[in-house]
Amino acid sequence: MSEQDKPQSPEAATNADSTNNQSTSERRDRFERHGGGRRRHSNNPSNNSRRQEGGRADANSIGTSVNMDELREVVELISRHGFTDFELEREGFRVRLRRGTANAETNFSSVALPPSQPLASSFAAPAVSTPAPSFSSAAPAPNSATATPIPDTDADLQIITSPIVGTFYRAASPTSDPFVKTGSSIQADTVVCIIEAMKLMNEIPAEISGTIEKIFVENAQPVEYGQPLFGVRK
Amino acid sequence: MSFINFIILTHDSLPSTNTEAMEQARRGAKEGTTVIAREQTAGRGRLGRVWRSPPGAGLYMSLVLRPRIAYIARADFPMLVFAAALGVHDALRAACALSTDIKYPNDLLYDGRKLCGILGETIDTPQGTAAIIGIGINLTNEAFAPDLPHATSLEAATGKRFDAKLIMRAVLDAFAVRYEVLHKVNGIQNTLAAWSAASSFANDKPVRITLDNEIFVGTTRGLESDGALRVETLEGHLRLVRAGDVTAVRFDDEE
Repeated sequence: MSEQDKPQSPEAATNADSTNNQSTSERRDRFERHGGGRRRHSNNPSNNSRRQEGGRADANSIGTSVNMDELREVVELISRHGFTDFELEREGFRVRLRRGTANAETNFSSVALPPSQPLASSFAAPAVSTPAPSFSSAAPAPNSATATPIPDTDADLQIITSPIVGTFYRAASPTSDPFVKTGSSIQADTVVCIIEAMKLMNEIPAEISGTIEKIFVENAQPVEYGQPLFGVRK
Repeated sequence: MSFINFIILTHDSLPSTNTEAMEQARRGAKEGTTVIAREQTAGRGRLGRVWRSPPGAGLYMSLVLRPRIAYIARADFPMLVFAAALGVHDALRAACALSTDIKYPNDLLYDGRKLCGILGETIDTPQGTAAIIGIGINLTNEAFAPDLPHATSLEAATGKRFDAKLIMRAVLDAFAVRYEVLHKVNGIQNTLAAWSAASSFANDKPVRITLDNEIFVGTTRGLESDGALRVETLEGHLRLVRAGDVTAVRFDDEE
């Protein structure tokens, strides 16, 4: 939808109201998240769930070893956000923390409260304190990112997945050319899309090189953590 | 001592302070690098929309952040825009004695009209993920087109003209405090609690949610732990809003 739908906010002048209509990403609670890590997967088993980026940005804070204080911070972070699976890999060490149940269901749709249930009690449901899924922490099955169905079975195709939950945009603006198209040649630092999460526009780099062969998501659609976005031919 | 060391890069005219700050970040600019311009010739809002930026009529600034990912997970970066909105809210109180409201998630309103917009963007840089927080504050009514009924300015709200650099300094100081909170224990929880205390949109607010393919109305019921807005629909369903446009409405007379 466009600015024109909002009479109070004439086109090309957003100082009055810069918000716009986006696809919803409602009721898509935290998927398995990795603190700063980013998982890619490919159908090629030798290449499966290789972690690339996690170490770069936080290298300053964690470095090549973790002391107990830092580990405590990480554990707090995990419990605070209801991560079910956290993995941190550095030269010389690796820590993996898991919680939750293996087969908890994830609910993508909006939550309908039974009429008999007062709203307040649902709101009071602890966000992360129990492994059982509550409405605010639908715990996905561990490894849900790698278990995400990949729409293509071509073994040579590498998949760029979404590192976050949000709304997928192929271009910087509705009138701009898309960042990439089928057939585009990409490098690791090529920006392939923007994913918006709560008004934060995140440029997503390819992190792999090759040629875009498949685009799995339509513009302005909500995407999940780990959802395949692009198929890339080496 | 501020939690962030600010380095101010002042320009007379730039296409966009966010674009310039992004370029600086890609070239390795440190956290705290702040780009300010008297005018923007191609000021940006979300998704390529234009932020009108005539010379001297507004504060146009963009701040480079490099959040410590051990403390703020990548998926929690949207918290930066909540902290930025709180920073501007605090700064306007301190520098202009103005009480503003925060429209979900990051627009500053005075008397129901938009006074400030915030554009948050993240990019990949050789030094890791950087976030660029662009802040546009209308200093005078020349900052926006005259036919915008839902906009206002600091001058209209206070009757005074404020110096852009003075407001910038207040925003940076206030933001540094909010940013530090975010890095501490329970930082997200405390940030969202502060946001909820400062915003009339947090609870019991009748709103219209405009999504890509759907519009619905409901009443706000607080924030989720990740910052999503809880909205109770007229049918009594609870929906979590993480995208789309949130507008205040009255149920009896829906705008």
